[in-house]
Amino acid sequence: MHYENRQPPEGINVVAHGWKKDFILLVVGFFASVALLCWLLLLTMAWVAKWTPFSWEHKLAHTWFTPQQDERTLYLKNLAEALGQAGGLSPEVTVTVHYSPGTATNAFATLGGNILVLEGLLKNLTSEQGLAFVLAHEIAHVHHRDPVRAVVRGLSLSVVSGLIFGKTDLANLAGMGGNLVLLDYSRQQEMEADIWALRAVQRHYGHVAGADELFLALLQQTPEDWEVPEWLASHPELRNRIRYLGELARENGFLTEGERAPLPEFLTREDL
Amino acid sequence: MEIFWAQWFGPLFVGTCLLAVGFFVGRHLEKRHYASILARETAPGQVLVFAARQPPESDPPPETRLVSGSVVISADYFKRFIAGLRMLVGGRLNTYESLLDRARREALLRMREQAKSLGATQIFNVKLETMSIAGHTPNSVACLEVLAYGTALIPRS
Amino acid sequence: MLLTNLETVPGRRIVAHYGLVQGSTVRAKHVGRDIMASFKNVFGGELKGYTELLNESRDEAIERMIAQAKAMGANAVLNVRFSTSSVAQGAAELFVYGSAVLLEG
Repeated sequence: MHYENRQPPEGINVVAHGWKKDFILLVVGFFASVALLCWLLLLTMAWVAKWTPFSWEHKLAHTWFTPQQDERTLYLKNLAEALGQAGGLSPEVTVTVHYSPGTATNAFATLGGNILVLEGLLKNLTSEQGLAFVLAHEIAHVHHRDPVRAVVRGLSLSVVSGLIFGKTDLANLAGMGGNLVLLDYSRQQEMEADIWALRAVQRHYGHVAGADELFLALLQQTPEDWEVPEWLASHPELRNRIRYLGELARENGFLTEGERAPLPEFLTREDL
Repeated sequence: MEIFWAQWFGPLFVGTCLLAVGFFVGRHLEKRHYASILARETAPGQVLVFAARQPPESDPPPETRLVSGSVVISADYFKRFIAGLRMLVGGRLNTYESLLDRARREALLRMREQAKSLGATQIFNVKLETMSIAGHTPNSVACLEVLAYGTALIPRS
Repeated sequence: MLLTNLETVPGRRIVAHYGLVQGSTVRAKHVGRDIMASFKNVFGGELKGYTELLNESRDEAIERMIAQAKAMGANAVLNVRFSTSSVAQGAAELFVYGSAVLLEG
């Protein structure tokens, strides 16, 4: 009997496989799982955010603002209250309007029901109806709890990216989530706010003339070549918005003609 | 849901690069190991192994010693991840096959080295065992021990 | 190719021993089978899906071992032994090995 060891050929038990399929599977699978995780997390967090008591928001945010007592603030406060009543503001939220000397033509709703109205906005509007629509729009954000949802979403996104890439500095993560005062809302949220605001204006004044005043003014301002493609901007293109408001008014039988009251001049006075 | 592309592109790119580096380094190390295994298996004067139970009669009868060689292996993160994905659809796990093949051949080689150090020329009744030495919870590391053992025949001079 | 787990083949003479031959596959079940299996857990009995899967894998491992033996020039594999081990949750390795020999005739 002859004893020897013969070497079997390679490639029988281990099939030589190319790296491409495995690598693509790895990368795609990894990012797909991450995306899925994010999506699930955001879904859960959005649901949780809705149930956050408003009192917590208020407690957190009210120290950010100094209370103001002047004609302007009183006027804004009364207008906001009237609009809130007309639109059917949820009883658990309270809205506080603040004036801010900023030159941008804008207004923001942030946590705790605080709405900031900037000087630039007041300067660029001529009718009370125009201001009313903007205020109602921001009140709508508060009514829908959009600020707290945006904050929670920003925080969850930064937590997820921190977990994946190994950052454990939580303070940094929270900051990364986004600027807590200037909150960006999704287009869906903006559209819903527009609808709520239009209804509130209609109920308060009996017509919606002048509601799109701000959009028209912004349209004049923005130079043509600056237009950001629609899917990138969080504010849908102004023209679409104006058209959409018109359609809404028609569908619901809102009157688009009516008397427009001028804004009181103390609103834009410098020395208050 | 809006994803801010600028904020996410950087991490995406870095992540893919890291995955690529880990993946290709792993493949390179595997190739190197295979080369080493082949070299040792085909080295001249290597101890012969057989699964047969009865050694041939020889005069004078050889001295017998139990020899063994073992390897403990663990799959790296990428192998486990790819295997995890593959497990959703079922089928062959190429990455694990190559890992186990290397482990078995390495264990056999270590057994032969031990036998050679004792002066043996043949090993009979070689048996191979594979055992999982970690818990079977989803979070546990895939840790396996491959053991090769047999009886070495040491010729008496 | 003759496979046997006996030490010898009755009536045939072994001309040469060629050493160890091995065949192995690592197979994973997929989620579909898993779900069926968990249903079966309630009622008990044979998990036909798994039996089929493992039998197929074992056949494939044997095929590979035979391929190795053929490449060596052997015509029989003696002392065949099987081994099944779990490599990860839901994946099992089927391993066959034996002694490749050349039988006379």
